[in-house]
Amino acid sequence: MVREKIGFFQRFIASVGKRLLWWRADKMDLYVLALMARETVIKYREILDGDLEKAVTLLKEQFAESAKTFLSDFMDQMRLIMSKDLNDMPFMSEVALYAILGKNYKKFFLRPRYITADDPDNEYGVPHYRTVSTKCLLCSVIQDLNLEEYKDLNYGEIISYALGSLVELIFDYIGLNYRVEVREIHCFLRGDPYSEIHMLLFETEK
Amino acid sequence: MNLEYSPGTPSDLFGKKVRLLVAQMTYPELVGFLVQHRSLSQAEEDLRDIGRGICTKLMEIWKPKARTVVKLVNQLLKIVWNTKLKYRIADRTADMKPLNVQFIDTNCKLCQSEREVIEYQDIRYCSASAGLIEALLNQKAKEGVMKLPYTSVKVETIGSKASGDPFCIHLCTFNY
Repeated sequence: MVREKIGFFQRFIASVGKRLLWWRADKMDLYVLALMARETVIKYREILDGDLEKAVTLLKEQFAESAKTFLSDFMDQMRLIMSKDLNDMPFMSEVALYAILGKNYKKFFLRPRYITADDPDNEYGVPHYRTVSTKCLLCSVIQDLNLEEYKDLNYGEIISYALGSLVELIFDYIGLNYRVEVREIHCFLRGDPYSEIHMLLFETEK
Repeated sequence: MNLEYSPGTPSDLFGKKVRLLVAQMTYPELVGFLVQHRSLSQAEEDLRDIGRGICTKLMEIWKPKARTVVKLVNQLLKIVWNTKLKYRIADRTADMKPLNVQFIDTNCKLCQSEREVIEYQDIRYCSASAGLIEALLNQKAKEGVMKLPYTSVKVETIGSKASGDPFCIHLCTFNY
């Protein structure tokens, strides 16, 4: 049974648990991981007759799909810190980011915000989450390439689609009927000073 | 939001850690795509290519001091997959220099990512590691800093756990 709202005790457990998870995890260098994405796109492009857009889309879809497949195994471990309250998702996202990047996640992501449907700042009319990255894991390693080619490809969606998939996976698990649509609002490659993604939540039939 | 334009640099990432699981969950998709679209030998070469590309960029920022082959390879693999390899000199030249050296990985992190061994039985699944090692050793030979006076090296994966072998073996063939 998933709880209605995360309480003090669950926050405490999450705070200890995320550190334990991080400490026990097998780790690799973050730069190498970013280079893997870079080199994979370059190789896909070569195979797909030089079509960079197709190459980026392919990696984006693969990454989102594999994130779902692998992380569905962890849902039971995360159950203790899950709730049906949409306001708790930023907290759950932070715990997940800590489990993936350790405390350094704060150097790349600001705390996600939940915007209710009736918020005056909400231009969509549906609830959504806003996530801002102050540094981009993907853009950091392609600065020596021809950025003109990359700027209209929504390159950052390689990560944001995976995050959207995760949120959808969590919703499925806790029994909330929402479809998640990811939009990349700001992107370093288009000259913006930060990257921002919005995850729009559309209620669906059961 | 007032932020200066700073998408990040390699130095912002290098030395920071991330869960290996992220790489492990995407690698099978990469291999799957290559197997579907390329011949087996070409797919292996593609994986080595990706490994070479990663290592070449990595070495723009990572400057290892070691001058022996074994130390260098282990430092690299420690950074990349957090693993350590054993080695065995399989052949020597007439003047007793190592000709073929096998690096043996009993705990290959790439192969751990593959759940279905049978699916990729024909491909040396972790060939990307061979590309990493090859790029490192060739770059160091070019710099002329190695104790072993080889001019170039070719590295091939000849055993891969995910392909059904008992452990992963990367074979280095040195040219003098």
